This record gives sequence, C-alpha cells and structure tokens, in this order.
Amino acid sequence: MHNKERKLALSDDILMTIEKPSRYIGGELNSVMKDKAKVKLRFAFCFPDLYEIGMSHLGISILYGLMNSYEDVWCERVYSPWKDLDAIMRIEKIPLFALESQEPVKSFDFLGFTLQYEMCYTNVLQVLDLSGIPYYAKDRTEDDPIVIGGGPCVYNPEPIADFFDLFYIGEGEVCYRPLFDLYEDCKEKGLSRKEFLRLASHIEGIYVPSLYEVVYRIDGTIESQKPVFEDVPQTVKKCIVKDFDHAYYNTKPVVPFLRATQDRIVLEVQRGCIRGCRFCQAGQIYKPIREKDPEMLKQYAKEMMKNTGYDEISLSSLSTSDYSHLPELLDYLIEECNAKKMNISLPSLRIDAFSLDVMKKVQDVKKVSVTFAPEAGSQRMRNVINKGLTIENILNGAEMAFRGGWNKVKLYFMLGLPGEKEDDIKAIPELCNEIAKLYYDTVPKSERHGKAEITASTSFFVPKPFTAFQWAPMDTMEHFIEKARLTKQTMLSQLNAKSLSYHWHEAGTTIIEGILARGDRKIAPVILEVYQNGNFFDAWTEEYNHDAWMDALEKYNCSLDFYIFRERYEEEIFPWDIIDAGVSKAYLYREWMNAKQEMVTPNCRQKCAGCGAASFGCGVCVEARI
Amino acid sequence: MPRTFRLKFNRIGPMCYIGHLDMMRYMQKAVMRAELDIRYSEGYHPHQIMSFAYPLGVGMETHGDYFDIDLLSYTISSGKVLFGDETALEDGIVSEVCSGIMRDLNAVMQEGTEILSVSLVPVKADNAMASVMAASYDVLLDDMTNFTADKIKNYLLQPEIMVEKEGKKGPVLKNIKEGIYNFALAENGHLYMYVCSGSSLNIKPADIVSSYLRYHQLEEIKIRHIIRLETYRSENGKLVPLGYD
Repeated sequence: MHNKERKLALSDDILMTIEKPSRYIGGELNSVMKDKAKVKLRFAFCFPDLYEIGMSHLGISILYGLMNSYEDVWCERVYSPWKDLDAIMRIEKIPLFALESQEPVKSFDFLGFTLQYEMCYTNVLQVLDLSGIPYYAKDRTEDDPIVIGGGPCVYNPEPIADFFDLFYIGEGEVCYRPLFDLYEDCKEKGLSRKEFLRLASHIEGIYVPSLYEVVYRIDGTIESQKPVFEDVPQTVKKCIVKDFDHAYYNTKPVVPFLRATQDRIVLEVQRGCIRGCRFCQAGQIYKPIREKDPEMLKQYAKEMMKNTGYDEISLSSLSTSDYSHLPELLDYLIEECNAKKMNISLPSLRIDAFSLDVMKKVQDVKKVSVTFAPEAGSQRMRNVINKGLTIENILNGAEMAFRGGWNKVKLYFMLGLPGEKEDDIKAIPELCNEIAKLYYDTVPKSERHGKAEITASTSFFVPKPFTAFQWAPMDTMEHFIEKARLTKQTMLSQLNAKSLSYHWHEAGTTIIEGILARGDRKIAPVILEVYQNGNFFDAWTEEYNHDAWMDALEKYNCSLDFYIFRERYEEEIFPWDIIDAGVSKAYLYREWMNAKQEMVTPNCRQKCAGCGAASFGCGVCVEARI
Repeated sequence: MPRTFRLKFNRIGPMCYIGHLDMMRYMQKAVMRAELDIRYSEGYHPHQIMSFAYPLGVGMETHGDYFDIDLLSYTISSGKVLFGDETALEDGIVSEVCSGIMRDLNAVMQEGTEILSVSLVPVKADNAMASVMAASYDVLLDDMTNFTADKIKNYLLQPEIMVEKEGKKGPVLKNIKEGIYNFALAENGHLYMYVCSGSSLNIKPADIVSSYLRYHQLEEIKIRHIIRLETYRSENGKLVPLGYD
C-alpha cells in the first residue's frame, strides 16, 4: 500500500497474514517520534509479553514519558511478537524492531525489560533471540545494547542474572538520569562496555551481576556472594521516590488502536501498602506507603481525559481503600465522569457502607458482584498470613451488599499456605455457605433477584523473596490437587451448594513460579533449555509445557526438594540477599515466627513494626500515626 | 433538537492495519478529545451514537468513507450555543458549524486519518449505513500485464457474471453483472471499479478480480492494494457521494 509516512519493519504481505497486525505498527496516539540524529541515547523498553498485556502496564507508561522528556534520549517500546509472527521472523530472518522507529533493537544503546512475573523469563530469551543479542551477558560485545532489567521480579534477579548486564532495583523515576549521564560520558570517552558496567555499579539501585562471585556449599546453599572489586557495593539498596507528590507522571500515555487489557486512564493514588500480609511480596518491596495529593490527581485526571479520549478511568494502588483522600477523589471523579459520560472502573475496595454507596453510583448492582479477598477460610489461617479481615467484616459487608440489592459475591482464597490443615481448607466452603445463608436470611423472597451467586476461587500459594514466608516450604503439586479436590467436595456438600461455585488455578505453573521466584544462578541454563526447546509464552496456560520444565530441571540437577519443598533455615544466605529492599531480614524472620504462633502484626498506620523502611525517611514512616 | 452530521474521512498508510471495531473506537476517542457534545445511549454504560457507513477491512485504505454523529449542541466562534430549538439553521451557520467540527476533529487526529468534509444530514434522511448504494475503488495487482482494455471488455460482455457470495445460509451464487457500473483501466495504470454496494447486492473488488481471472483462465494474482475512493448514495435516481455538501 502506498503513501506511507513511516516505513514499517514488516511487509504488507506479512501484516496481512498475521493476527492483529496493529500490534506491530506503532504510530499510536501519544507515541513519541524523535529525530534519531538528534538524540544521544536510544532505549528500547520491553514488556516481554503480548502487546495487549504490555500496553496495560502503568510502570512502562510512566518511564516511557519520563525518558522521552529527556531531550537526549529516545525511548521506544518493544513487545513479544505472538507465535504467528515469531515463526515468520525466524524464517525470513527479520530482526526484532522497536515500534516507534521500526528499527532493529540490536542497534539501540539499551534494551530494558520490565519483569512483572516469573513466567515471562522465556519471553525475555525470545526477545534477545529475535533481536540477535547473545543470551548470556558475558557473550555480548560492544555492538550489543546494554540489557537491563527492572520490576518486582528483580528483587530476586539471580535465576536470570547471567542474561542481564544490569538490574535496576527500585522505582524507575529515580536513577535512570544518572545512569544515562554515565553512559553518555563513557561513550564520549570511548570507554568499553566492561568499564561502563563497573562504574554503573556505583549508582544507587544499580546491580551489576557479573561483578559478584557466588560460592556454594556442598548442600547447594550459598556460602558467600561477594563483589569481585572493592569499589562494588556488598549489597544494592533499592531506590525509591521520596517526594511522591512531585514525582513524574505521564499524563499523555500511549493510546493503543486495539483494545488492551487495561484500556483506560489510570491514576496511581499511592505507592506501597500498610497491611503487611505475610504472603505478599508487593506489600514489602514497595514500602513505605506514599500517598499522592488529591488535587494533583484531579489535575492529572483532567489532563488525561483531554489527552487520550478514553471513556473510562480507574484508580491504581495495592489497596485503594487505604488511600486517605478516597472519598474526596471519588466524589470529584464521579461528578466529572457523569458530565463527560465516562465510566469509572472501581478497583476492589474493602466492602463497607462507603464503598457500597460508591459502587451503587457507578455500577448496575444486578450485574456486578461484590468482592472479598479473605485469602484463607479460617480465622486461624488469616492470623497466620496477617490478613486483618475478620468473619464479622465479611458477613457485615455481605449483609449490607444484600440489603443494597446485590446477590453476587466473589471470594478469593489461597491453598497451600504454610501450616494449613484440613479444617482450614474446609473453612473455605463453609464460609461461602454462610454467606449464601445470610442472603436468604436477609433478603425476603419477594425482593430477591434470583438466588445468591457465591463464587470462590483459589490459587496456589507461592512463597516469595522478601516476605515472611521466604523460609517456608511450598506444597507439592499432588497436595495442591488434593486440596482443590477437598475444597470442591466440601463445597458440594454444603446446604446451599446450589448457590456456590468454585474455580481453581492450574498447579503446574505454580511449581515453576516457585522455583524461579526463589532460585539461584544455577537456574539460568534451565530457562535457556526450556526456551531452546521451543517453549515461551509460559504465562499463557495453553502455551505452557510442564514436561519441558521438569525435563530441563532434571537435566541440570535442579531439585524441587532443594528449591521449594524444604523449609529454609534461619541463617541461610538467600540468593537475593545481595538486594536490600529496605525491609530487614530480622524483621521478616520475626514475622515468620509470628506466623507460626498465629500472631497478628498491626498495620503501619496503627503501629510501626520496625521493618527498616523508615530508613527511606518518607511516607507513613514519617507521618503522624492515628 | 440534536442534529446529525455526516463526516467524510480518509485512512492512509500504516493505519490501514486497524480493524473496523478499532477504527470506530479510534473515532470515538477523537470525538472525546475534540470535546464535541455528542449524543449518548442511555444506561449505566452509555456509548456514543456513531454510525459508520461501510466497515473498513484490515489493510484497506480509503479516500472516501463516512460516519454519522448526532450533536446535542455546538458552540460557534461568537460564543453562541446552537441546536437548542427546532428552528432551521441558516446556510451560513451550517457551513460554520461543519467547518468547525472538521477543524476540532482534525486538531486531535493522528497522522493517517483526516476528516475531509462535514455536512448536515437532512432530518428524514437514511442513516449512513442504510444510504450506501455504491462505492468506487482503485485496485492494483502484483502483475497487471493481463489487464488490458480488450480483456476487460470481453469480460464485461459475458451475459452473466456469477460469483460465490456468503449468504445467510452459506455460500450462494449471485450474478453481479448488473452491479458493475464501471470497470476500466485507469490513467495511473491501476484498475478503476465502480460497483453496487449495500444490503441488496454488495460487490467487492475481490469478486471482480476472481471472476475476471477465472474467465480468462489465469493463475491467481495477488492483490497489492484496494483503496476505496468514494461511497455513494442515491438521490432522485442518481448516484451521488454520501455527504450532503
């Protein structure tokens, strides 16, 4: 087709054969074009999954805007080509390209990956492979981009450490500028890749894995992990935004042509969480909680409506109900959205009089459900995981919802939590039954819209680094399946079984997620083996190949017993001890002991638990407590 | 009283790889950014009332596609808010509103699409989709050597031209001959096709190409591009472009 302004990397023939060609053409509203002759540094920012998934990610959107606000930098986007295009690119030898310029990734200065979930690791290898960049950092030359990783997974970067030149530990708003300055300086002086990496290790939050030597004991645990040069830090502390009100926010996000998973304006109301749930990694690594000024958020909302044309807005944070200016912000948004005929998509709020009132204003109660995340069925187990939700909270909330006209309730649970007993599992269906019973007791027959619809879903628990459960053993796949079966059977034997339904997630990926989450550097060849046998897009259930993973683990003598099924001992050096997330190991161990004693720890606003995050000197740590 | 406007647009370059539904969403967002006072459906999730004349397939460029929107009001440069009452608008005002809508939208549009003209749709006129009676195309194939004036003439001289079309109950054979208003070699060396479109008989350029190749017993030739040039409605028995300019 003629008359093209930007030359596309893919031919018309290819674009007409593949599914959803608009994933690969760039040129979306608010995507940034620059003159490559006028920039000093080109950054290819990759979310290693499908375009629709990657385009939904807030972190990239913020950093894309921030990096492009620098005159000397051009940041472009890269996503994993889906399998149809992947196959064509291999046959036709088309190198992977960035969306904006449509130029090969290999010609960039940096290739950055955001690592949001462990199951994307094979896609990282796909992107390197299609770009023509060596898998292992040690094999790269001066012609290859610097490969850098960030996001929650880099709090244990060790399983993928050999594939990366650098990791960025912490929040991207803080240290990219000094890193870029250093890079440009090194380039000007003609310094080598190695020299740059060495100097980069001096920057806050930058971890250079090749500069550390790991020594293992005979039992496979770590004896020591030390920097090989004196000027390289022992541990790398995460860097965070201290003045969250004035942190950069991208009010001109790229608006995709096709429908992304999150296809709406997103306002980040706060970062961090006060709750300290013991299974939750995000709750620890984003500490301390920092709120954003509601006036600022209103201004962002207004600008973003004008800049995007979206018909929907949503709020983002780990626990939006804890945002102290929520009523004020929602009042404003509801009014603004009504005037503009926009929708508000509410995050899962804690169910109480306030949230039900808000939900009623913006949703059709007959269609939507109220959601609870008790995470565990019994109070005992909820104490173990420090989930402060009580049976009274749930039943009161549900009763209010039923009186308000709702009849659908969704509940989220985990199976395989540390110390879980049969009674804890049975408590899940029993709780569901109690809620169904409450509906029939609360709502007279004449006022019911059909029966109660109580839906429970369970996922399998994976212990994560930087949580109290980092020492905990993980359940076996057989146990998981047994536990799901027990939940199902108990569900069916409830009095109100007809009002209950139950779903559970696959167990296979959970095991691998467990290994990748707490693995060490010995795991890298396993990931490469799986990839080289043709497996990627592991986060997609239909693409996931369990046998390939089990075979590769066996080939490289990586035992599940060692990595996930054993309880780790107190003094054990963890692969991720190189990283300092701001929460101390002593605090986490105290929390592990509290879990074993079923003791609850108050949240950050009630009482400081002395986790160590106060060293950042911001957020809730320096605010007055209630 | 809301007024209906018909907007003519083009789509060229990489944007042609967007599907029809995404194209609609794209225009809806543009209307939001332009802050036009468009009419919405009722209910919890109101959506803009916007009707496209003809779905645009993935890969197709256009110089003449249309969609209708209903505006509840429009504020002209003098600050006056229009459409509050039933009175007919003066011609001068209509043209100011139409050029205003065009300017507002083009200011927020991405490279590759542009609003080419805007016109006021008369009160009792059919909506954009129901109005479509014909469309014209520029078609280019990878190999054009077998497309000569003589061969085209012979093809058109057939008593009937049967083509397999997708019917409600599976494929049916249809005679498209009467619906081919013009099929010729254009000055630029491409094919020009002017064909019947719409609900009764919807002829696509590919129908002509495939029946042409079959008639001349030629091997399949890949179509390099199809560009829609114009979309037509009928007025007093004559075909005219879809707008009311």
